[in-house]
Amino acid sequence: MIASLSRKVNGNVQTNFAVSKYSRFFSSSNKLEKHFDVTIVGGGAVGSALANLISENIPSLSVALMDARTPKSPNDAFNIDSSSKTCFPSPRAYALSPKSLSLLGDDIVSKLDEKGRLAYYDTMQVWESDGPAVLQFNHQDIDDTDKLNGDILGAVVEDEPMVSCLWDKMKNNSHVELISPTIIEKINAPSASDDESKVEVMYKKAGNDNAEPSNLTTNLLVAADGANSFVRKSDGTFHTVSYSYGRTAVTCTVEIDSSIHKTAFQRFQKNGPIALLPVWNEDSSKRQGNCGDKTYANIVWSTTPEEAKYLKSLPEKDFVMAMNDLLQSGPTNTPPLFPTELKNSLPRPFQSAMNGIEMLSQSANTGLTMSGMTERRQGFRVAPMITNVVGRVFSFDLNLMHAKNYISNRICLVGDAAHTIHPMAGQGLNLGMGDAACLTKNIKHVVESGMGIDTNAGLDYALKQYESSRQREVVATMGGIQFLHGAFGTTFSPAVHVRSVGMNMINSIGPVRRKLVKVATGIEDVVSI
Amino acid sequence: MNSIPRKMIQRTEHCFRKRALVTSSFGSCSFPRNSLYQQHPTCAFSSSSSVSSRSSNGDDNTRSTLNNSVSSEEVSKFSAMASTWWKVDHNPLISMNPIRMSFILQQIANQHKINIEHTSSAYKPLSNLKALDAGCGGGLLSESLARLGANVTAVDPSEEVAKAARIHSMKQNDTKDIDYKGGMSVEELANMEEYRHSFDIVCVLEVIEHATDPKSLMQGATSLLKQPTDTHPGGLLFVSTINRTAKSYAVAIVGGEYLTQKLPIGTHDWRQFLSPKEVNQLVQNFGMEEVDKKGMILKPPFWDLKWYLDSNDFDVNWIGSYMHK
Repeated sequence: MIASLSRKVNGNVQTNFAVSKYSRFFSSSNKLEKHFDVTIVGGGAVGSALANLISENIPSLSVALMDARTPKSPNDAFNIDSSSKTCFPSPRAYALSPKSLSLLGDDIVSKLDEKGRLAYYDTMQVWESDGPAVLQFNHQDIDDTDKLNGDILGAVVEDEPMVSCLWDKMKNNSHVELISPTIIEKINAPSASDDESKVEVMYKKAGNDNAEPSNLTTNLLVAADGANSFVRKSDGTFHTVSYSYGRTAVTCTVEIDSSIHKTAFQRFQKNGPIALLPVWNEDSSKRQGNCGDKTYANIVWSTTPEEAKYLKSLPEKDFVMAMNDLLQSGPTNTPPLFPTELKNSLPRPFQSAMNGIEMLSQSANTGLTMSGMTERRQGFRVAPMITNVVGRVFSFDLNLMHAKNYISNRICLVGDAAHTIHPMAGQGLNLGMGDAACLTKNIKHVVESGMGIDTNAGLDYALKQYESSRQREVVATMGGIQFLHGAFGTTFSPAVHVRSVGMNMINSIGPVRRKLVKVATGIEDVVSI
Repeated sequence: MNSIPRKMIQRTEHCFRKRALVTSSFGSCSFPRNSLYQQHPTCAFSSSSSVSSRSSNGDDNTRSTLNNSVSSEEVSKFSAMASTWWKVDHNPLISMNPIRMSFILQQIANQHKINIEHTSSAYKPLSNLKALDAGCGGGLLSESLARLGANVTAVDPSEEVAKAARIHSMKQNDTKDIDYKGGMSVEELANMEEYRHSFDIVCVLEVIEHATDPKSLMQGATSLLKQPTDTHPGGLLFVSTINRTAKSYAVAIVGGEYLTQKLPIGTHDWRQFLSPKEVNQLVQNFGMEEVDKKGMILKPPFWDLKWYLDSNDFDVNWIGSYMHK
């Protein structure tokens, strides 16, 4: 009887759930209402990783994950069954730090790796378009004790296979209930003074206007539904600040003529950086189905909206040439420190002083570049040639968005729902994974100390700790990226000199460089469960 | 309130007002005098068991049912705080509770050789253990112990406080069976035959510094513990308090009460703080010895109120575990 009732409540109920699990959903009220300790709205990368983290680390909590769509099965996502279409990597991919990879879970990582869908990189090369500075990080900058996943700095993973693997794992987990495809109609959050009340969510099956609405209650509602979060907007207690970078990212997948040698390339130029990132394992023997044996890379090029529009309008051949133009050229000399007209208009002693300063700056910079290369015993790497574009060219506007509060009565924001940043450092998903880990850790802490998340005392404490530690981390990352955005956006020549010398110093001074690598790869991140 | 003489309440207010004047000499941290303890009702309320006060002479006969280590002035003070016990912003003990509990769990796991790994769908590592929360206040610790499976008895010298705690815990299944005994001191419970030598865990957390007679409190607490037998290792006593050091004066009194106003002024009397050594000497009188102790420290940024257990720093807050020799 109970089993049949539960099927009526939600058409998606799986029959292998124990009947006893449902009996408590009906015990407290007359209405057919389910209760979950944690309900996550949004089953993207962060939401589904969070659901897995909670159910693995805090098995005493029941978790529901809601999404408007159900992702493909792993077999479909890996193109194993689809025999007709040729397949190639998707530009919708993320750079995951070693820390994020370990949060994803060894089983998911090895599953993706087996199918050739993890593109590891062990070197990052950053260089500028109007100066000699090259910044090169590699796995040797990470201490052996800190290594999480072997000799890597990170890996590029496409969205779809990763999310489908995460969902597949949850299907076999009795602590997680997947509610999809579904549309949320209404969310009732309790008021702050209300001690033990719960969040109510009204939802119905997607794609069917006549579907019966259902209700669920939850102690904690997590919004993982992206930058335009429905939960955040409909609640009304969250305030955000946003800022447009005035840049558009153009992204696509390209075929390259030679191996990328596990390197992530990024060249800064006036309008923004262009990145060439490895995607898919170059060992094509791992690929299944019609996935070919070509070598691919992903392009993320941030630039002004006008240039982005122009680039998208170019014929493929010209677009490829524009990309190669930028990526094939190496470091250059710094521009003259003082404008020639200014120099010539001044009396002779000033002219020679200016010349002296200029030479000093140039030679200091060149010296640093040389010493950097000597210390590293590794020269500038030349990026592989792009031969053609595969698939569509996408573009999206870049905005910075930050929620002033990540938490409000029993609702909390994670990932893009709480913050979006410029993709130049590839930190977007890494921050989201950090959110998921931090939230899990704090909830686990209160649950294991017997405070539980059903009372305000326990939940508020966990959420406040989550908010303060994540906001610190996120704001620091945003600040760093804003600094880079400004530093590389400038053409003011003294600033270019300072930047160039600064970059070179980072590159040639080991301790500074190693510290930066730790931050960039998430090793320094305090979040561990 | 009607069980507490009006005179007492007036006296407490008077005491607060006197201190408010002191505070105003700190300049920026002065505040409305009359609403003092409504605005900052905080602190040590898991704790009001054996409460004392500097001006308790002759107050004790007003509550003759209580043992003489409890003063009614402090009872009324903690009773007034009841409404905000369960608010994180008003009660610093909520933020301290997770680390106290993790210390307690770890000690019990060591002694009873039980697994505290969170692996199954019900997390009840304290099942089958009998626990006493001495000075339960709003029931923060009692509820935590009960949720983890313990069979909890809680005593508090204030009837009202225990009543409020009972109402709060009735709302949840896991905590509704807690046996709250209001208007009772630890010593009185120890005099009841059925409770003597019956507890696996006795917690005297943030309480001893409020007791007029810490020795009598410890005697009561230790006599409630199960005695060791061939099959049972004996009960564990947990005591947490604040050390009596210059640093603790700066942190707990000046910092906690005057500067940050996280605690109401007058919550603590520095002279009644105890060092780990002093507590160890106290319990040794009753055949107990220290098993382990940890400092409880705040790390910057302090406004997060994130507490950590520390093996070396016992200068301010600390917690210790004790068992029969």
